[in-house]
Amino acid sequence: MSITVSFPALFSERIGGVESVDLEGDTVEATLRALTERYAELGSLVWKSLNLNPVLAVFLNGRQLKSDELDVKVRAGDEITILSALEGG
Amino acid sequence: MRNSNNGGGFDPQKVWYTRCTIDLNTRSIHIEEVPCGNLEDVLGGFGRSFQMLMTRDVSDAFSSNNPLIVNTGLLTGSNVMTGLRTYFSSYSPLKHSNKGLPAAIWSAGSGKFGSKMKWAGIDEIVIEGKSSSPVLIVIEEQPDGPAVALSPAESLLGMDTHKKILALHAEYSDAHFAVIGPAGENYTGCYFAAVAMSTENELKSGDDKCRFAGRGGMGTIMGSKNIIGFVARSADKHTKLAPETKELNKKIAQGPGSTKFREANKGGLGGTWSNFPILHKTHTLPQNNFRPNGDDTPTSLFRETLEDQFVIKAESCYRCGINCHKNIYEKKSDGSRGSFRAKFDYEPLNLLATNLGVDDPTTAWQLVQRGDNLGMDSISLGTTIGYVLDYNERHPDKPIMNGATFGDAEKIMALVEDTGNGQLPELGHGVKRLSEQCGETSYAMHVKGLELPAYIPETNPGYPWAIAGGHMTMATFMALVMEGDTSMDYWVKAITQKGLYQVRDDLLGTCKFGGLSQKMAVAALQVEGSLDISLEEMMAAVRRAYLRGLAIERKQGYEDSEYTLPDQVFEQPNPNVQTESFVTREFFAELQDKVWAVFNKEIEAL
Repeated sequence: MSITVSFPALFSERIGGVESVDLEGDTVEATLRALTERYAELGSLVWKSLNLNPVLAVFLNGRQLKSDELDVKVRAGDEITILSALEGG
Repeated sequence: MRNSNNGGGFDPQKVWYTRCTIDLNTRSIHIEEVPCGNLEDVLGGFGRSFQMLMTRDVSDAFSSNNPLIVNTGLLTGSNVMTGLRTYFSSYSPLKHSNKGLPAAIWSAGSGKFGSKMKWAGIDEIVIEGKSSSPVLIVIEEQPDGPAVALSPAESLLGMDTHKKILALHAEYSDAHFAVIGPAGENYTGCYFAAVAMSTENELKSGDDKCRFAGRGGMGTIMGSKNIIGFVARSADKHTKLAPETKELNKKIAQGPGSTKFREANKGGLGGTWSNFPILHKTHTLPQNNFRPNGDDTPTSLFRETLEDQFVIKAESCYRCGINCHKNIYEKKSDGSRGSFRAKFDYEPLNLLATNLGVDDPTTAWQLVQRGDNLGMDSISLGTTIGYVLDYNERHPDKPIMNGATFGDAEKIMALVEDTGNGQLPELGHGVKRLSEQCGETSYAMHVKGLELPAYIPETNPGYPWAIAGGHMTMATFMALVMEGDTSMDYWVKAITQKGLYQVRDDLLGTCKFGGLSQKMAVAALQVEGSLDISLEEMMAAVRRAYLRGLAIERKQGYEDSEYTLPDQVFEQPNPNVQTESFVTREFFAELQDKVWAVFNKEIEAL
């Protein structure tokens, strides 16, 4: 099943300007693993010591997930959005 | 702005902007249309003002030949959401080279003043000389075009920023305002006075919700010229919303670029304040003068902690769906909203509380609010006070000023009060000068004479190439925490290929919190600015504007050795910081060489 994953410019810059990608996975974490398997350049951005990079925020269909919610099941048509949680101001 | 390009390519010289030149020495006022010389002139902001500053030989920020330039960006006052910026540019009394020459700087703020100025028919005001008495500069829309006049301002003297705005609001209907506080009035004692700009919410609610152009002492320059404030009076002028703009605004209000600043119930992360827990995870949140101590005291100022004690309401400047203002109100016993207390942004909250050893929320909002009322840049104020407290901790036998140390709220408040009233020039002249007087410069947190924002320098070797503020004019301040890359190649590219484009919004008139992608910015310029330009042309103009900033620094005597970090970074790495320690002197020397190898060639070619 196809899940759409979109991400910030920081990610896009590393993979030739691609802004989102459709992937397979049955949980959020599995889908993110699929992302970094397809684009190894993103691995160090998404994962820190096998855990989600703590400065990222992950949204599933517009709802922000807590760090212990990456095992949430996903369905075809779901949208995962990855964002940097750190911004100036 | 008047654009007579009619297809078939874009010629900047077919665009005119309206400039008002005021000579305060002679009280003469001249309004004219000026043709743009290049795309930077068209885009506006510091892209235009720095070209004028480049032509001036200024050795003293308070000299008569140092102009104050107040202008807008092309998208200020447009239908593009966040298009609200006003820019104040001049040679700074605060930022200066080791030769003692002032650096050029700009400072930006939102609110509604810039839009009103543009709607009144003025794109830029250039102010020369100094008035012999306190004045207001009043810009008004008239049937036959814009009118600008000087008005006596003695009655406003001594009022804080908010009271000045309310007093002006009572006198001038359908207007917005930019004013200084007591710090700007007492400019010889405070070199980091800010300019406060009114918001729609402030005028309607009567609550103290101005926005600030804080960096570099532009309020000090206003004070030195005896300008107490600006009034911009005009009807609101919104054209019909184009479908493309409507789509663009939807992306700004709901898209990923502004997520950080929106509320959780709008798919956001709750504002810049949410940097607290993220940075604290790696102990990179400044504490005790940028020296995180590894404990958990910052948690007392996490947003989630304060939600029990205060009502927190997200509000905006004007017609902005992001609602980045996180305003703190008293929480009554029944849980309802009481009186307004303060606006909590990451920088003021950290630098006037956590970084000073203050962890009590009530003390925190009082310090933030008092600094705003007196009209000071919270970054320079907080960082310089941090140095004072650090010095006193190191020298208990010979403390400076009132002997305040970390966490001493009462004495810290006294430092804020005295600085804002011009009674403590040692502090008010900034941390570079103070540390040189004290003979201990290694833990003075500044680069090139401008105090650091709330990101520890160990994590950002890109700071020295910021022009007008460490985080707002060089986007490398989050890179290490975000990406963890410590390679030389990464950092050279981060500075020379990506970080400098942080200044794009400082030409366009849009707010960085809008998070417009480059493609969105070009689309906005095409639709709302009627510019037939490409993304590449916009990026090239932004790059030239940035490089001009570096070129002016060289002109003002900055040498390679001044593009560095506080010595403490190299000499005493902090073991509590849980990111990789990589900024050694050797690393930094190589970085300098490689960055200048890129920039020097381009500066010569300008």
